[in-house]
Amino acid sequence: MTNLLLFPILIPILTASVLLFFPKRIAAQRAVTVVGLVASIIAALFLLRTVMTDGVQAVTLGSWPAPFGISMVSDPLSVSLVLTSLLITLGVVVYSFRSIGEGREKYFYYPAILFMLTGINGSFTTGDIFNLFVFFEVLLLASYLLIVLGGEKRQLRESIKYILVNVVSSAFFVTTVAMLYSVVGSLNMADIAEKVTEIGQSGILTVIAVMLILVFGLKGAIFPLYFWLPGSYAAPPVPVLALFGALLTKVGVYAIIRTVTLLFPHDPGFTHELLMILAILTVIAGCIGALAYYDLKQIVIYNIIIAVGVILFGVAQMNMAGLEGAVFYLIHDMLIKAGLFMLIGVIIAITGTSNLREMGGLMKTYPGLAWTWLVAAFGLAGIPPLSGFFGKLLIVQGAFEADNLWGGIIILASSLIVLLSVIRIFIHAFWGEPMPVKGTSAGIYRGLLIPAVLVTALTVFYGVGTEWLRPLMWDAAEILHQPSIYIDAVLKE
Amino acid sequence: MYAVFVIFLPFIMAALLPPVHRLIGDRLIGWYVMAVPLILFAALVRLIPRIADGEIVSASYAWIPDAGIDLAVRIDGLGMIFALLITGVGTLVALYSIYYLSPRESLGHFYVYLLLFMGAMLGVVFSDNLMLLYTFWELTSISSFLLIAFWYHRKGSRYGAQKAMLITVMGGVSMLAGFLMLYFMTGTFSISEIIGMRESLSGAPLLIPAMVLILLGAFTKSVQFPFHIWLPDAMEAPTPVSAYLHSATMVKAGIYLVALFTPLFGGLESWFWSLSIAGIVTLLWGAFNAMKQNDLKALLAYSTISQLGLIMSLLGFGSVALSESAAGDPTAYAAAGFAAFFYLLNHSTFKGLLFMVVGIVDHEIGTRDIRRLGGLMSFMPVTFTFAVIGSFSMAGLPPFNGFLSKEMFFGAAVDVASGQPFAGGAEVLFPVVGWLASVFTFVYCTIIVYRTFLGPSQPEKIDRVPHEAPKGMLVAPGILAALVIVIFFFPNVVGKYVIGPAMSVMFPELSRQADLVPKIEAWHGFNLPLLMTFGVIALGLLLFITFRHWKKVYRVAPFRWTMDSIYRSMLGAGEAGSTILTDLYMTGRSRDYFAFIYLFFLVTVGGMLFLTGAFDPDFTRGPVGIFEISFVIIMAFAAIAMLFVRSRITATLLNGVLGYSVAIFFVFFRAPDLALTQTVIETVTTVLFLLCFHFLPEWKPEDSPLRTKVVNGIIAVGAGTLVTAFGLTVQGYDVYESISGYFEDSYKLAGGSNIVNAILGDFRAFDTMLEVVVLFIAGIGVYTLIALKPKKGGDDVEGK
Amino acid sequence: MKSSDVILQTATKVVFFLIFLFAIHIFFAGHYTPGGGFVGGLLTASAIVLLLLAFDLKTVSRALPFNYTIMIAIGLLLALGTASASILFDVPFFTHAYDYFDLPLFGETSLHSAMLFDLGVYLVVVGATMNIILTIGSDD
Repeated sequence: MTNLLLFPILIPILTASVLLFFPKRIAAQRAVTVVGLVASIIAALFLLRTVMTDGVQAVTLGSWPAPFGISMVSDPLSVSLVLTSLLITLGVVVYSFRSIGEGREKYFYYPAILFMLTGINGSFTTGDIFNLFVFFEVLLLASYLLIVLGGEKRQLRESIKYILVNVVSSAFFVTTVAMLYSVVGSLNMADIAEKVTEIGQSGILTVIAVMLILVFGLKGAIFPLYFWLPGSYAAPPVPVLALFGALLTKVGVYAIIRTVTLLFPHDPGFTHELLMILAILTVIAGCIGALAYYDLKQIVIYNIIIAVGVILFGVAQMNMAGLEGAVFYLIHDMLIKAGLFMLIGVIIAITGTSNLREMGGLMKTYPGLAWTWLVAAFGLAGIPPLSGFFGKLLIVQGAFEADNLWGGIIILASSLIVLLSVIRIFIHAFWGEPMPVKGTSAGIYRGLLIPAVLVTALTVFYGVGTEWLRPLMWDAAEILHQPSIYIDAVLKE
Repeated sequence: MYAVFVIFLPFIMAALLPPVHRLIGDRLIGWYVMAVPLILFAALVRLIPRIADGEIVSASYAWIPDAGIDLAVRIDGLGMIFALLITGVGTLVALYSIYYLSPRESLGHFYVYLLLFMGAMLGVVFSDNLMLLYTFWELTSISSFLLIAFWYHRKGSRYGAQKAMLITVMGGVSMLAGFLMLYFMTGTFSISEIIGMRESLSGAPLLIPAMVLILLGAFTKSVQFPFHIWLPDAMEAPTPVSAYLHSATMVKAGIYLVALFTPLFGGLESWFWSLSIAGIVTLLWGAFNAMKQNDLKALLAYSTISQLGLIMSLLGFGSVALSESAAGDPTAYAAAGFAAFFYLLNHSTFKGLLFMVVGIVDHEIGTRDIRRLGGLMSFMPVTFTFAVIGSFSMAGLPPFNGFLSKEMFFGAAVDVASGQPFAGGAEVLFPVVGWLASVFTFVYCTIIVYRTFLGPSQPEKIDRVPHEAPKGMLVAPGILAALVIVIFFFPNVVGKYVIGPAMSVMFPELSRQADLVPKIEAWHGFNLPLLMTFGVIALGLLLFITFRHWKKVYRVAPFRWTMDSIYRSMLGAGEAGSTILTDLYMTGRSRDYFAFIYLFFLVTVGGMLFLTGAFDPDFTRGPVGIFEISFVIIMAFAAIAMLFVRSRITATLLNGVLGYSVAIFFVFFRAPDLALTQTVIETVTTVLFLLCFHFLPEWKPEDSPLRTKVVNGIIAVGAGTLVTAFGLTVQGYDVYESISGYFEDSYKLAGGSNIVNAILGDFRAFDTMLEVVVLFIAGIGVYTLIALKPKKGGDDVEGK
Repeated sequence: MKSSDVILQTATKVVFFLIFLFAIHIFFAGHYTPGGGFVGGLLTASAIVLLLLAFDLKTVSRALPFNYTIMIAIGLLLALGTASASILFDVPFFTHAYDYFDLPLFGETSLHSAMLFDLGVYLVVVGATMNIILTIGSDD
């Protein structure tokens, strides 16, 4: 199947188009969405198997030779990110049944999610820098739709900032692509990488690399470009927040990874040093933010920023341990953030507030929620053998190997702040004197909790099953470390 | 297999507990739990002869083999001591809990946590892989967290749980960093392999940092000054938990860690000083603070702190034996290590006993505040006897085991003060400080006995009629009390079978050359340690009698300082500072956000442009015609004018000027397709603008302060200049071959002579399709934005 | 947007057809000269906008009774379907096919599957633009 790697992108877009024919029939919307997602997951699993057995998959659309048409490339990193995104989306969609409300469901909620997923999976799969821009636009437009959907006052206020910042960042992106094309004369990432390797990474390309870090850093919320994130992510309802928090920043992170490993790995003195400094600052800034709030959403949102810093710090080490750790941590973080956001959604549904000071004693009435939260919290903080541990371990090993002793120690120390921030939620919300709560029906509670528990369980398997995942992660990291594997796979035709 | 079974039995039983609980009910569940440590204790006792022969029981299963992380388990003499404590005290504590906890409590949770802890703790002492050890180490912190907050509706419990967890996990994380450094140096996580590399590691630059980080882990867990502050707050836990975790086992994990790494770090000067000084300071500070406590459990907590300091310092003294430059016989120093283990065992017996006594008092009287207690001897004679045995042992009086170990401590302190090889001078203080701490210990032991059981009875201050505890509750302390006495009379059995094997693990080479198990004798002649004991009793009695008069010393600095207040203010300042800092830049104004973005752009990209030396503007490309120049001027004029206009319609028109001028540039550059598209788009946009017009609010001019305007203006001009400079620089590069030539053959390749359309519809049709999707999403976005509006006055609460 | 200017209305009727025909022309011409589905769609939309300006919303909706959302969906599926045909032949996605035909009226023409794709693009562009304009225009 030449086009197998496109299926996880095309099935969502096809499903979304079909959904447009009957927007008001909620049951059909839900059913078709789930079917589409399951089909995409199956396709992604096949793709995963193909990539693991036959190596990197690449297809250049329209049967054109490689640097001229648009190449789509699926390597272990791409396919695992695609699969993770699909699984998370499925979880969030099921979670939405009981939480998003009929109004939104009748107004293109599911098509918007599927379009966003198209953009996300496309960004993970494309091997063409301009096509990446286009996929970014797809996911951004869909995210604009999701962030305003419902039209609550706060949503509108925050979405305008979100849209403005992203328009500026898109302008930067397209400018950078223009500069890049003007210098290198190609848009195909493998082709660019090969040319840069052959002829050398001149100074101007390093500047362009930094431009790309800026562009993707805005999406990925690195220091000091994350300021738009806490406000705008907190505006939409929890399922949308869960999708944004789990997936969107990771697209930026992924793009940075490709930039510094595939396109411009030759001048680490500038690019990687800068990236490492920014990553450490990101971690610190995220930690400060995570302690500053007594709001459930804000606490977890700032934890996104910390994780972005940790991942990029791993990438900046540019050795196998650091890269593999970054890949491990990246996928862990997507899963765990989805789980955490879904869980705080349950808490908010029960208590009617996201202010920690106004809740307490939920342990007695909702023990299942409490234990799931605790497991997720420990997973996030990287308590072994849960999912956050191994990635962070490798990242710190990578740091030690690269002689970045202090950086490694800061990354470890950040775990403590992470733990404090989420354990505070546990202590305040689940322990303590019970507070009068709004309460929710058992049906809604179960409908919300079950998908949240499943996603959390997934993270636990991810942690415990580290050994089974290692070959995949190792291959992913190896391609980042040895981009020639990627380049050859694309340009071989 | 056997070893793995030992660790996992508690976990399995914990997993099975909920269904079993439902099956057998509250009454029997405690016995189910007690069976676990009892079986394990029996199993371990059966192993003692083999371990004493120097055999090591080990097993290893792959977990993440490529990363060197295995389920490697190893039972040796060192782990054995601790495992015997964990299972032995565990059995007694479980027995005691059966009577202590009322069936109204959530027993299921309690016992699950307890079993989790037991398994984790056994895991810590039996792991032969650093990562496995770390895993179990954190699990002990977590189960301790859950147990401290067992009564989670109390504020103190929650506070104590969080504090204990934060401090011990902090230690755990730093320990992890230390472990990773060891891995970096040795390439293995296997503890036995790392220990075996002692020679090759000496002088490695990361050895000392790794040591410091690992010690941080040990010190936080084993409550060494100044990390001891979590222990008094942990006393919020039910008393069986305090007896078990917070005196007998978990707080000794740090001791275990130090003993485990003694073969690696022992002999290093910094190792000796760190342990000795931390231990001695903790010993003194703990004992000093214990005297002023009114809560019996807090008193015991400080006494635990103090005695863990004592053990830590003994391990420091003992490590001298591994130094190559130690004067005299190294086995003499090794005796300090022996004393450490002996004290460790004795401490678990008498401190466990005292905790259970306090638990009984609390349980039967309803308070453990010594200001409300007194004269209980006649009501609870058995408990009183236990209290006397425990306290006298702790105070170091014969005929109790505490006497023997305290004498050995004095002996070791004197030895190290007279002959240790590391220049310093502080060592002469060790025996003096140790002796002083013992005096304090004597004082608070007397306080426990006198203020609780002797003295005047105060029935008006307690709510219940005092009476003896139920018999079942007295069994566990009874066994401990018996042990306290038995060990005094038969110390050498313990020395030979339990401590000896541990010594050969801690001093592997030395133990092959000499017998490191000294003969313990209650009567060792009139020597210095004995005289010191007499001094302790004399001064102790004096201080106790005059306690009321010198008590005010606690109000004088630095004695009134508590590390606790520092922790509180740090945590508070951390949160408050974070809030202030975050609010500072999270202004919520898009204007500021743009300033951040462009400033960052200027600094990084601008910086890079010059740092890399890439800046090289190229002005050679073609002549710039008069038309181009005039349109540039028009566009610049329109753009600048837009900043100053006062009506929206003018701004819209100026925006149109910009758009159509761009279209004209496309014409100049011979791109009719683009010019056409741009023109149509500009038209449609303007129409849209007109459609929206009457919805828009009044146009209000910006009212930011001048300074902001100037700064933002500079940033804006800077960003524009930078993009221009960048663009000019990019012009000059043509070292790479462009792909654009290929598309000139579009008729042949794609059957279309319009290159642009061939690219849009064929070469890059995918982009086109997606852009169309983008347009479409924008369409439904606008549609939903207008069609789906919340009801007026609707709130923003989640989930309807 | 109510208007009853007879001159404007009469002129619009003519201009509308002129623009519309031009849009169709541009759509078909795209393969050889400037044009294509995207611009064609936009032009068509602007022609309808002109109608809107001259007449009121109701009249236009009656004259052009399209459900634009459905139009978009059809357009999307057409574009996607053209591209996806290649999946059936197991050649890379978006591989187009074309040949030259001698058609009456048009002379020798290349019929190209890209044309079908362009038609999809055209429909989506018209639909989406109209969707936006109508939604904003009809809101009060």
